[in-house]
Amino acid sequence: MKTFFMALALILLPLGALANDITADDLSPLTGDALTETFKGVTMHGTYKSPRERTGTSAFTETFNADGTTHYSEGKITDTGNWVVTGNTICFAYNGELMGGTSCFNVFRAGNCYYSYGLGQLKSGYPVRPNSWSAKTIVKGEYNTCDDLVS
Amino acid sequence: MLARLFALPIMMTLTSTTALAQSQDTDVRAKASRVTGEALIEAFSGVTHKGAYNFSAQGRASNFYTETHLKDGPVKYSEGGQAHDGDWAIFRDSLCYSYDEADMPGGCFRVYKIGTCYYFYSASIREMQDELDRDYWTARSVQDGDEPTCEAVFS
Repeated sequence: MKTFFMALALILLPLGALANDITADDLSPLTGDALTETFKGVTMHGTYKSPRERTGTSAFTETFNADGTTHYSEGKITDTGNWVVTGNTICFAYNGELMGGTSCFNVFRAGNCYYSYGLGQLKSGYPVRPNSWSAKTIVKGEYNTCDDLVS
Repeated sequence: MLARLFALPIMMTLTSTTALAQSQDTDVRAKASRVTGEALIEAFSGVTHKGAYNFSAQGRASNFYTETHLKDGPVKYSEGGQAHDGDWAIFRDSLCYSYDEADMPGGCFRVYKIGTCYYFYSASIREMQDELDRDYWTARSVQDGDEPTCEAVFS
């Protein structure tokens, strides 16, 4: 039995990895007004690629208010900040515990999931490594079409 | 952001007077004023800046650019004979850029001024009093038509 499970695990692991993979063909860039409208007045659930050291979780929720303010929660941390869309990037900065620099991202849509990539990771308009996203999000209440996200 | 600074003759003037004194590992903030609020808008909205990246330890600039900030948000950038369109915005007292060619990363910058010269510090890094072991400012610029006065502070 042990041998069988191990063998099965070895088969399943690469299959699972493939199922989670995305490619550039899956992604549609979000820019300008479409990028603004996607986030404006919306609450999103998201996950980072790996858990944050500060909270031990990779899950977060963020509300992007129409006035440019944002409310962020991740584990026991909550913070307020601001967001702005400039051309094809969305940038964030926070006021409290998460106060630091301004973080900017290019955003792509796959199904109803939004993948964010740090600046400088694109070539010919698409991520060089599509699976190296920084965060992925869905609109709160939507049934997600990607993995790892709570609908 | 960012492309070409001073016309060549101006650059030669600067480098000759700042030799061995000016590089991006020089933190200019102690001698500079942070540009924020209305002053930031006035310094960039409707204004063309000529700038440069990559200052060597000998104070020599390379990678020159020109960047025109149109009043309603678009920006026109040129570097090395290549023109690029994009957008600029002010976000929490930082100057942010995004370009239509997504491969060309923009980003946000804190702006400092000494004389007629503007220095751009990446806002992606939390501002600290002492930021060692890295370049301090990404680029330097002057408004088109202004005489650069940068050299005096680097003695």
